[in-house]
Order: sequence, then structure tokens, then C-alpha cells
Amino acid sequence: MPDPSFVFQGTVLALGESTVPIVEADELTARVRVDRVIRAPGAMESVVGREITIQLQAPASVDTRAVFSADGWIYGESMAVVERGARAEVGERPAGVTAEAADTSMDELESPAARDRAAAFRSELGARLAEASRVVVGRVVAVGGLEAGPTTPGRLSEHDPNWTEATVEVEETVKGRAPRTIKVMFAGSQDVMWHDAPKLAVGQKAVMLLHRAPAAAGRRRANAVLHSLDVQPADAKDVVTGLM
Amino acid sequence: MTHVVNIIPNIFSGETNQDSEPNLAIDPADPRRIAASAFTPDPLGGANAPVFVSVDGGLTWSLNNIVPSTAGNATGDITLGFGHGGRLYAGILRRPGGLRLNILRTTNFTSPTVMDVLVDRTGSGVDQPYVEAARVFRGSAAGRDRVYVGNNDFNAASGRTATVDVSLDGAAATPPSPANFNARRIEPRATNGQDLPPIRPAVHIDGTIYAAYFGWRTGALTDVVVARDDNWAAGATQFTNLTDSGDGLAGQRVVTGVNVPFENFQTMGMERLVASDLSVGVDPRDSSRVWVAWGDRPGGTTNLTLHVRRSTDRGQTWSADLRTIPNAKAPAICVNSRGRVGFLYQQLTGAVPNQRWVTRIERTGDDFATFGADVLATVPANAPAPTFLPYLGDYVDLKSPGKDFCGIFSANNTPNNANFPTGIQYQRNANFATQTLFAADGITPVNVSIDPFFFLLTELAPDADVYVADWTDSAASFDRGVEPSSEPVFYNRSDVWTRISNAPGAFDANNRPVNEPPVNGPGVAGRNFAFARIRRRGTGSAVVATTHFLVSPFGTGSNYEDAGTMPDITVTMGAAVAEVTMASGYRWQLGPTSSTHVCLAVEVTTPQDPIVAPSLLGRAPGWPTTDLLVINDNNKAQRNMAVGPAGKGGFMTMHALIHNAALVRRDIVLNWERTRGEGRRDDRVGIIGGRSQILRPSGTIVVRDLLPGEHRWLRLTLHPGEDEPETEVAFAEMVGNVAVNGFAVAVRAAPTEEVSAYLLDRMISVYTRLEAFGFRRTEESVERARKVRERKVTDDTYLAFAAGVAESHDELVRELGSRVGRRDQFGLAAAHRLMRGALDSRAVDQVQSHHGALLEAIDSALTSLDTLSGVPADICQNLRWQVELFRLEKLNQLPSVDRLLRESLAFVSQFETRDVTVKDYPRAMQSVLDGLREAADALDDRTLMSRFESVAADLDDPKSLQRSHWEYLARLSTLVS
Repeated sequence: MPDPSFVFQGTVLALGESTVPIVEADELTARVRVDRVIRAPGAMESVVGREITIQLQAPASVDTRAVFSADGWIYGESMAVVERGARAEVGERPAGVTAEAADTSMDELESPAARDRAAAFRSELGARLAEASRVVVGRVVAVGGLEAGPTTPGRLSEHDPNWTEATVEVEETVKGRAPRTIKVMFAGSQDVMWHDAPKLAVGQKAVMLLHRAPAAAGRRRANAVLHSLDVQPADAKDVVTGLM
Repeated sequence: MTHVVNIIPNIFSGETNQDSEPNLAIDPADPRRIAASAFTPDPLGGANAPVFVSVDGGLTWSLNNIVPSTAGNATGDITLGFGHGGRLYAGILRRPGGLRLNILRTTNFTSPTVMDVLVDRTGSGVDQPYVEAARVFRGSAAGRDRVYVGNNDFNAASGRTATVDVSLDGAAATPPSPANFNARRIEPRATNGQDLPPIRPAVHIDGTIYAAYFGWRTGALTDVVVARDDNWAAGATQFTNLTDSGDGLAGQRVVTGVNVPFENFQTMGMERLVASDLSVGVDPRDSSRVWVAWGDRPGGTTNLTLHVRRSTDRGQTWSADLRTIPNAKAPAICVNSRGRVGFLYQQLTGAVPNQRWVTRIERTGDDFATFGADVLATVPANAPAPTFLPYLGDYVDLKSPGKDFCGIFSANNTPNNANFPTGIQYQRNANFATQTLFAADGITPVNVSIDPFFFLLTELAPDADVYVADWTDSAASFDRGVEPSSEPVFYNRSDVWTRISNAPGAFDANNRPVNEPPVNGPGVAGRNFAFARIRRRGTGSAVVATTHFLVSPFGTGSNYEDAGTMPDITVTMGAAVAEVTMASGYRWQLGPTSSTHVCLAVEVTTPQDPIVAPSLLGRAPGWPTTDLLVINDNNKAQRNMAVGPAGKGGFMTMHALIHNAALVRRDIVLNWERTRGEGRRDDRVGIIGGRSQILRPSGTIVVRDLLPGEHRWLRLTLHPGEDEPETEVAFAEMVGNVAVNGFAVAVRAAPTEEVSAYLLDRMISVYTRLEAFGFRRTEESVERARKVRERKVTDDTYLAFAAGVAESHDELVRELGSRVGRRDQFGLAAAHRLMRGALDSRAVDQVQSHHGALLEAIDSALTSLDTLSGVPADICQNLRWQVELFRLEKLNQLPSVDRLLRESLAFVSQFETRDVTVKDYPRAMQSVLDGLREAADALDDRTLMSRFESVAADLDDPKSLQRSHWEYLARLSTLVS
């Protein structure tokens, strides 16, 4: 199971209350203020200061300040999330110190947030790296023209990956063995199903995590880059090798 | 009123996704519950993708993560459809997986539980799932969800890829895949290796399923094909009921050899064209009327052109283009409960670099001879830059929950009022003055992107849409005015009722009105008061609603007549009032010759919200077409419900009149279903004069060979259940798969004293009729019954009374039998004999049961006797039947036929508007006598001539004229049919 998608520091404002009308509150439903976002997509980092609902795994008390890990549930005027994973209490607020003042004194949480993002990236990249049959540093010297018809005969679909072949001059082999020049398949389609798959262009130099192309690509035993992490900037070679 | 909402939730204000290709589903039982979809990921990047949910009719929206997907991504293609009981179905292309079809279901679309995966199919790949769902109203499958998922399935043999995945019981579908879904291949012709992506189903509640698809033939040449199944796709073969008039294969080709481009790159503005522009819609009032809209590229053009065509004969023949829209894509077409057609599309206007995407809806009530158009959005076509394709979506969606139209489209989300001419509401943070979007903090600017926009177009403002509920189950669960009504039995718990005093009475624990059996008799003795609870779908301004009440004999198919001659009652609903119960009832009279077994109906109107013509006056629901007069029009409601008590050891007998309201000779098919209580094996049902059968939990009984206006009697014996307080059975008059009308009967377990009181009242009613029909020695019995009824009725007093009246039954039964003139079809003698036998044993339950059966038999015999002297309520049916007969080839050349047709139709039309009444009928018949005589002469039939002479002789009495007219038509029909 992937890590919780939302990690934030928050303060429990009330129990048995919901900020989302269609979420019926029970004793494990808490209204919390988001004091700091540690892990979330960029579009959701601006929820700092907003009150949200969290369905707790275990009871908490009002004024609890903790780092919550959660998955998304309902998003509306506010949002509701479901707690998952360990909760780390931030600590008692000293008497006479406001919550805001306490927050500003906790800059140490900034680096955990950054560390979290970096760790997630390394984890995902490491997984792709482990699955890759070859890893090379190379330069794209040619890209085959897009085929006129569907990649798979008799299967014309707007979601066709539009398999495209790039010729890559290998400068360095990081994993496995590779000849000096190799063919690499990639999905040329801009369709919603493939737009975030890596695209290769002539002149592009990159670290390529090569995988076995799907049978549907029509080339037996071909190399392919399939996932957005499969093509890394050439200067990320050290990062890649460091993960091996 | 037009209401357009950007449905991105406020908390997600920071998003810049390309939320394209939207789809919409509306809960048919509660149109406030709406689900929508787009290419929208979980805002927090989780593994499940969201659907948009609204529980307030689309005013506000949330996202709920319930679609299985992959972390950080939206799902692939997704469409939605609601079944019954709040079940939401989705068809998606699952990520990861490419062309991996998943069909999903949730029973609660606001809960966090991820949808169940019912179907998971990849193989050679499946594309563009498109979901429609509906509930079966009647028959052995009543209540089941039918689910249809059109898709382009590359697993199909021989490249015939157009497919509809069908579940005949979506609620019962249980993983693992394919649960109870079956992939039905609908393409019978050779293809160019495959069909094109869109396969669009449209479902009618009568079980008619249309499926439109692009049959790809060669090169870019494509046929637009509409296939049809007439029975839910539940038969041995599916989608084969419509065969092409050219090649005889399944599916009528609406047009052949059109150029449908497949260009999976930016080709129309920043949008692609991937042969996905196809929509089909069926008229909810009449499944024969079906519309199709598609996009193709005519020679010499660069963009897509949309076409709209219509069929009125179940897809066999099609009109020419009724609308043609150049430079447009994403057509969506649907029909509302009034037969008005909505047509939504997105058009690329202007010249580069000032092109705009204009989202427009057109509405017409006359097949686009005239139409209104609303521009919902006009936005720059060159921004934002596309993230992927489709830019706006390969389709949009349009639905009609009743009178209104709801739809969804995607567009540039710049907060600029000029971009949304009919008005706009944003949930996300936006400053329209500076045309700036802001993140959830209200401070951080956010770039423009593509968002989904929901819209609601009200044909009638909610506060003006008055209705009478067809059903109520509790204060929270009741008919909210949806059209058609969402409950299959719409006549046993409606908000129209009658009382014997001028007070509406209290509502019961289920928030239902308490109906009282009406009384008959002269003057005050036959005075009743009809009530209605009037609701409306919103509040805002005061309205004055007019209530008009009608009655017909209890059963199905009998034509309604005005309940009384008093002026209609108006009811004022204050500005903030959504529900009013009539404080004072409509006084109506049941004369001494009338049975108290009646159906009651109400039509509520306001100047803004009239009933949908025709009125029930002179008609029965479902006829002369199968238009569902009551459930398709929330201004009408009817109560066809008979309830009686029986002692624990006894039973109740009830008769229902089965009348042929059609204009053709036919068998009447009645489906029954126990709707409450399990009942007992000795419950029986049968047609009087025929054999009875065990009343199983559900079944069918066929009433054979009835002429128009003819009737038979259905007899039902019901025993009170062992544990249930009430046992109920509902009968539906079926025409094909459609329940056009019906009635319900319930027996309530009651103490014998209560049963005795009921029987005494019933006897007073029936004996009053006997007296009015001139039977002797009845007045004395009525008086005795009244006296007994004035005191507390005990078993002893009842038995003594019953023994007394039984003495008089011998003569009465004999006399009644001779007056009815046929053998004792009602079983009068047997009921009398059984009652006497029970009296000997002093078994109160049994005496009551047989006494009740005897009273029912007498009542029905009297009604039949009355029918022989004419039925004024059937006058219009006579005239409509007359029109049908004189249009036949053997008669349509007669010299006076034009006048006959004109006068007949004019009377029917004026009768509905109350410009003429029953008393004007003789004058109308006088004007058509020449035509009737010419027919008798032309056919040279002595019987017909004799019956013509009877018609001519009865011109001074509308009631007897109706009968002689009917006998003339009955004879005529045998000669010309």
C-alpha cells in the first residue's frame, strides 16, 4: 500500500464535528486546522490555515497538535481526510504562547517536509531502477516517424500509445549491457492515458531506465521508456547510480 | 432559469488540471443527487480517482475518491449512470492498464468506500465505456437495475467491435468479473477491421434499448447505425429488433458512407477529432420517438459538422437533418418529460488567433422548426495550452430529469463574466473583477486551466412546478415531483384521497393520507369530500393552484369523469410554502345507483404549470396511446386502491373492473405482485366467469378478447397474513413491458367487530344501490343495518342481523340474476349458500367472509346492469373508436366521412377543455348520423342498420345513446376489421 498522500501538522479544534456537510460526524471525527503541509501535491499546499475534517483512527483530544498522515476522501468547501499511519504529537504548547507563535517557532518541520518529498522521489525511482533491464546514459540521434495507422492493426483507439522509435547512442551503461547504439520505444501519444509517459527528442541527452516494451508495441524484445521517471536528466546520473 | 456552476471544489482552488471529458448521472428517484466525472485526479495524489458529487441538485459540488486508479492520476475514460436505490455505476478505463475496461458500482456515492469492480476486461483492449442504467418497473424483474455499457471491444470476432455490456440485475452483480455482465455484440456487418469508438446506449423504461454506433466500413467512410432491443436486451438474441430496411441486418443505418475523421492530434483548435461525436436520446413519453446526433466532415470542410435527425417509428425511418451545425463537436441530445428536445454542443467560432469555444444548448418543442438557444460559455480557444488530448473532451453530457435539462461541459476557466452569458458561479476562489483565480489560501494566484461546468436549465422554475405526489413512504421519503415517477406502483399511496366529512384527516405514521371508503346515496347520504396534498419543487413566490377531481370505477382502464359539478377548488401556496394540504375538501356526490368502489384522480394546475394534455377526463391512463398520463405528469395523481378488513380466520373478496380503454380489440394482460405481506396459499385470483388460480407472489392473468369499451370483472380473495397487519397485491395493466395503469387491493387483519361494522356500511351502500335499481325489500334491510350500526357492533348482534337479511337473499339473488340476464356469473347463489352455511355454524369469520363476497357480487352485478344502459364516461372513447373505424379503407370514401371525422374529433377535443359536456353528445351524434347511415347502407348489414336506428332513436338521452352507439360500433368493427 502506498504511503498516505497527505501529511500535515494540525491542531484539533473540536471532536464530533465535520466541516463537510455530507460527512456525518461521530466520536472519531475531528475538526482540525491545517497548520503546516508536509506532504501534498502542489495544488493542495495552500490549504494551510483552513479547517478540515479528519476521520481519526484513534481518539484524540481537543487542542492536540500533531503530525497527521491521511488519505483524501471528500473535497468541497472544506475537505475530509481519513487518517492512516502513525500520528506524531508535536508537543505541548508552553503556557502563554499562542498557537501561531508556537508554529513560527517550529521551523524544524520545514526540512522534514523537504526530506519527505526527496525520500518519496528516491523510493519511486529506486523501484523503477530495480525493475529496469538496462540503464544507460545516451543521446537521441533519431526519432522514427509516427506511424500512420494504429500501432496494433485492427485497434484504432484514441488511447493508442502511438509507439515511436528513437535511436540512442549509448555513452555509458549504468546497468546491464548495451551496444553502442540502441533503439528505444516510447509512447508518442499526447492522449490522456500517455501524456505523462516520457517523450524523446533528437539531441536529448538523458539517463534512460529501459524496460521491456509491451507486446502491443509490436517490437519483440525492444527497449522502452514507459514511466515519467524512466527518463532522467543526464546530470542525475549520480543520483541514479547512488540508488543502485 | 439557467444556472451554470464551475464544479471544482473550493478546497481544490489551487489546481490547474485539464479536467476535460465530463459526464453526468442523475439519481432518477431524487434529482438532487448528481454525480459527475472528468479527467480529474485525487487532489491529494492518492491511488483512487474521484467523482464529483452533489446532493443539492448541482448547486454545490464535492469530490469523492471512490474510483480505483493509480496514485496521482485521474482514471482513464469514465462515464456514470444511476440505477435504483442510489446505486451508481461507472464504466472506466482502469489505470494502470491501457484499454482495460472496468465496470464499477457503489451503493452510496458519498461514502468513502471504493467502488466494487464488477467487470475487469482487457484482452485485446476495450475502449470508451459509456454507461446508462434504469430500473425495471413491473413484472418478475421489477426493481432490478438494468445496466448497459456501450464500448468498443477489440476482443470481438471479425472486427465487429461495437458492443454493449449488459447486466439484467446490476444490484446482484457480484465480483469476480464478469459478475453477471454479458458482452453483447451488436455489429452484424463487415467492418474496416473494427467499429469506431462510440457506442451509445439510450434506455426507455418500457424496456426499449437503443444503441447508436459508427459502423466503420472502409477508409474514412462510416455508417451511423441505430440498433434496438425491445425487451431490455434480455432475450436469446439482443439488439436485433430493428432491422435495416436495405440489407435486412440488425440495426438501421441512419446514414451511410459519411466521412468521420479520426485525427488523434490537434486538428480543431487545440482539440482532436477521434470519431467520438455521437449521441442518441429517446423520448421518455414514447419509446418510438428517438433522436440521434453525430459529427462528420462533409467534403470541402475542415472541421466537424453536426447533424440531428429524428425517428418516430422506433428507428426504422429517419428525418432529414433537422439541425446542421458547422465547426462543432461533442453533440449530446436528450428529450424531457414534455417531449422537448435539448441539444448541447461545442462550436469553434471566429478566426485564429481569436477563435473561441462556444458551448451552446438549443431547445425545441417542434422538431427544430423553432428553437431557443443559450450560450452557456464562450471562451478563448487558444488558452490554456493543452496538457494532453482530449483538450475539452471527446464528449459532453446532457440529461433531463423530468422537465429540466442538466448538462456538463469543460471549458477554459478564466473568471470572466463575459465568458458565461447566462451567468456563472464558481466554487473555487476567483476574482471576476481582475479575472484571476486564487488557490485555497485566497492569496496565491493560479493559472487558467480547463474545468468542468455543470448547468441546470429549468423549463419551469421549481417554485412554479406544482405536483401531487404519486407515493409517500415517510416524511423524508416521498415523490419529489420527478417525471416519470420513480416508483412502479403509483396508485396505492398517492396524495389524493377522499373522506366522508369535510376534513382531510390526520396523516398516518408513514405520512400518508388516510382514505375513507366513500358513501353513496341520495343527497347528504352520498356526499363525499376529495382532498389533495399539493407540493412544489421549490419555494420563492406564491402560487395559486387549481385542483380538479375525477372518478372512475375501481379497477383498470375505465375512463375518468368529473367527480362532481361544483367549481374546482383553488389552493394558495405562500411564498415560503412548499406543501399544502387542502383544508376543505371538494364536495362530490355518489348517487344511489353508484358503486362506492371507485378510483379517484386529481389534476392540479396553475397558469404557469398546466397539466400535460390530454386530461384524464374521458380517458384512462395509457390510452389511446401508451402515454403514461399519470406517472409522466407530476400534475396528475390517482388512487386506485381498495382496502378492507377481514377477521383472522376469514378472507376478503374484492372485484375490480377491467375495461378495455384501447381502440382495438385486444387481450388485457395483468401482472400482479404482492407488495406487502406474504399472503397465503388459499388466496385466489380469477376472471369472473372463468377459472381462478392461486395468487402466488407474482403472476400474470390475461383477460381475453375485449372490444374497445368492453369490460370483465376480476375477483380476488385475500386472507390476512399471519403476522403482517396488512397484505397488499398490486395489479398492473401491461402493454408490452409498460405498466400503463393498475390498481391495488389490500386486506387488513382486524377484530371481528370492526369487520362487522365494515360489512354493515358496505351493505348499506350496496342495498342503497339495489333500492335505486328498483329491487324490492331492500329499504327495510338498509334501515336495520343503520340501526345496528348506530350501536357498538358485537359478534352476536352482527350474526343476528346477518341471519335476518339472509332470509331475504333468496328472492333478491333470483331477481338480480334475471335482471343481469346471464347465467349467475357473479356467483350470487353460491355466495348466498355459503353464507347461510356459515350462519348455521355461527363461525363469525366465515359468515363475514361469505357475506362480503355476496355483497361484492351484488355490487358488481349492479354495475354491469348499469353499464347495459350506458356509460357516459365512455362517450369520448366511442368517438375516438368511431374515428379509427371510419379511417379504414372500407369506409373512408363515404360521402359524409370527412364531416364525421371532423365532428367526432372536435367533440373529443372540446370535451377535454370542457367546452362541451355529456349533454352535448346527442347534438354531436346528430351531426354524424349521415355517416353512420352511409356505413350501414354500404356494408348492407341488417344488424348494423338496426343498431343505427337505435342510435337515431336514443338521441334524447346521452346515457342510452352511449350504449346504442357502442353497439353500433361493435357491429361495425366486426364488419370492417
